[in-house]
Amino acid sequence: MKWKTGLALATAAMAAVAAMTAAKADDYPSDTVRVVVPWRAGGGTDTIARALAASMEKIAGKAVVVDNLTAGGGNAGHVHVKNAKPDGLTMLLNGSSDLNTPIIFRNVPYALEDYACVGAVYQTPTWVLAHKDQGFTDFNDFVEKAKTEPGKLTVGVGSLISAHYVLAKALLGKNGIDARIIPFDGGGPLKKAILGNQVTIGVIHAPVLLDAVKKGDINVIAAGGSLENITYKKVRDTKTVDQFKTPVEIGVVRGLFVPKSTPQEVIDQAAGLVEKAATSDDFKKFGAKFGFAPIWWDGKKFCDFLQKENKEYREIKAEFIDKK
Amino acid sequence: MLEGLLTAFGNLAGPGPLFLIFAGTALGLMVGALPGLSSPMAIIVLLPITYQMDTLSAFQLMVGIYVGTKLGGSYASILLRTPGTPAAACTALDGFPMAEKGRAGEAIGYAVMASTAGGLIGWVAAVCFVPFIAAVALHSEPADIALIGIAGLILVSAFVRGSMVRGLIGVLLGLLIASVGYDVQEGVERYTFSNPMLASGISFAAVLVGLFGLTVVLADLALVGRRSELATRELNAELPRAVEFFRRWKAWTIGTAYGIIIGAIPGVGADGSTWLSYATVRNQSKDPPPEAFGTGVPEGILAPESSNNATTGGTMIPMLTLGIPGDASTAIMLGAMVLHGLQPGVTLMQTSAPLVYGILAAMFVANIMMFLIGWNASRVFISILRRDRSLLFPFIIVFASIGAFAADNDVFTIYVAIACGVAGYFLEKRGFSVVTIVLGAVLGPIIEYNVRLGLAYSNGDWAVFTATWPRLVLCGVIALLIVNEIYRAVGRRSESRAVSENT
Repeated sequence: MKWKTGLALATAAMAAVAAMTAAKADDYPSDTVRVVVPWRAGGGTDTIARALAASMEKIAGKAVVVDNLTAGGGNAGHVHVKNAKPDGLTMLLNGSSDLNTPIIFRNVPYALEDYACVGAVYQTPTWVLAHKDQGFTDFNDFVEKAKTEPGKLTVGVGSLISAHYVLAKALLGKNGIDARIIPFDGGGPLKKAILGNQVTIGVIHAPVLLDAVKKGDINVIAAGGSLENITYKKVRDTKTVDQFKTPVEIGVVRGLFVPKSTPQEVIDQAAGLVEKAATSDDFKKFGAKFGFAPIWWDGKKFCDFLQKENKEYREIKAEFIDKK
Repeated sequence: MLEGLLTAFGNLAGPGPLFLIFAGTALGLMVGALPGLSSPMAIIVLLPITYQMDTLSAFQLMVGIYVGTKLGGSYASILLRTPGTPAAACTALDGFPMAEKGRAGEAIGYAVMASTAGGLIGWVAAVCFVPFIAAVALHSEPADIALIGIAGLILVSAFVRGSMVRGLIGVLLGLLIASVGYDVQEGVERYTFSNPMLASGISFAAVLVGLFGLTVVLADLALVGRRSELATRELNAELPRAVEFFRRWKAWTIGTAYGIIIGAIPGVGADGSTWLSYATVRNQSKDPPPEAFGTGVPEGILAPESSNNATTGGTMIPMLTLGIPGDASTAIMLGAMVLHGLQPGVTLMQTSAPLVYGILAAMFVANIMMFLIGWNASRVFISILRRDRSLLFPFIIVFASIGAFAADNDVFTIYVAIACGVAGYFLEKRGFSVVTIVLGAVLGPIIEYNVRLGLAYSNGDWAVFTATWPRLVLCGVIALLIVNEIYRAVGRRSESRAVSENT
């Protein structure tokens, strides 16, 4: 009798433990979530990651930390998430083109296939800027001037491995213009060159230089994609590049990734948390400050976009960059 | 401009900022007093702590250290004849004989007064010139920056005491370190050996940690267990009176002037200015006669001490307006700015004016605190000199490793730091100066990037470098510097030949 009671108790205890474990699996996140950003603290992607992490933390009730793994030009961050435990607690936050361009243009130790998409929270196009002294109101003005002075005008881009460069090459190629592309050492130096009117036009991520645009020092002459989410209304109807013979969409969609081997169930749980955070009021308030309203795309939409972007960039590369 | 500065001073009025500056200055005095430990190392070691602070607080601490070490170095020079910092080496010439005569207190008093005067006048110069040069620099183009960088690089190699060839080799090593990684203009991989960790180059912070943190520890291992013998037991000697100080105004005004100018020249810093001002003051001195220098005259302390502190103001000018370092410490501060997400360079004044004014305001307060601490607490630092400083080594190694790791959040950078530390140790042993490597590594990318950008603007036309009057002047300066170096090298050789023929 006694041992039967014992057995019953033990069984009950085991069942209870099992139930608790099951409850724990539902209770995502079970531990601190690490959001890996392959960029230095202070940049656009990092700012978004920190705001999102703050919202996620509030909703999850567990710590969500941003980890800037920048070594090797961001390679360390990508590889870290690629090899992370597939428990949904380590995620990569990066922009679509920031992930695609190194994969396409460089020899990097990771590929799109190494990641599963959780969802996207920000979509910002690149935009083409010109100092007001250039007197351009849209990209066609630049095209006309470039045709009269072949090889003279300059297009500044933030780096050779970027959406900026891809768009600059595509725009020049599709419009048949001979202008020189000048790569800078990142967005900061390019900003200075555009403000100082040292390059004829510059291609950079929106909303960089928005303050100067608002002041009227800088004109937005084309956008790599829709500017409908920008908070500054006056530039929302800027002509997109498809109106300048360049039917592509070039910008950056920032979202979260987990290792490929992560079970779909875990991805869904993580996506649930990120969606709540991305659509929270706090994150929307951040959007007002950032200059763009946040979005929410689920993992499938985000992954499809990445594939499409990858294909488009490869086409531009084959058509305008490789041949030379 | 005045408004910005006043706001910055207003923001300092709180226990937090004042404590940070006080702590930095006191620490700087202590680190400076310990031979072998210098301000670049102290700043490097504290870098990981500053990651958690907001940018201005981090710089309040760093500026305090920077100012404090310049005076701290003189304690060891005066009491041990072993300079606490390279910038204080010159002070030993007259400081140590004075201490031997039992006038150590007086010597330290002169050092404190001269340092404060030099620091404050240097600060005034920085405040006057930073907004002005920042405004001019905003119109600068890549070609201008490239030429300033080249002039700085030549000065670095020329000012290394002893051998210019060694200086040049150090600079070239720095250039080599800096050239690793993807090339911005062409997208070519340089010296990465297909190692993805090297794709963005060698972490500059890790190189600094290695060269200034680990090299020092390795070099000082020989000192473990040894205590320093002071020149004199009795330190109770009276401090000099202010009248005595102001009577000798010539010595410290000359020292200050040299300090500001040489500090403002990219790449040279306090190590060069002290010797120049000492020589000038000695050669034009009537009372005491030039022969008396080296036997313990106050002027021999006033000139170098005012000079090395004046450089702190001078170096701020290129650092805050052009993003070009005046010496090793400012090179590290520029690195710290990048780590804090800022873009040092000609636009710093536009994008982060409150930080620029905040740094300047902190520098003023640090100078005042240096005076108060130096004047009242000399004995504390003197007693530190008697301690066995090998106790500090484990802390330096730990903090240096954290600093290297935190630069990129990666263990790889620690290996880089260790490699640089070991290499730096052997180089220093062979008479190379690690400062030249660091300045090469800082100035190299600035020059390369701007030369190539300048050529990209001009469509490959080299005439862009002589297109404007300021550029012509800079080219002239560069040519003069090179001719001067060659002339001096040839002269030195014939001189030594003459000497060997005579013997």
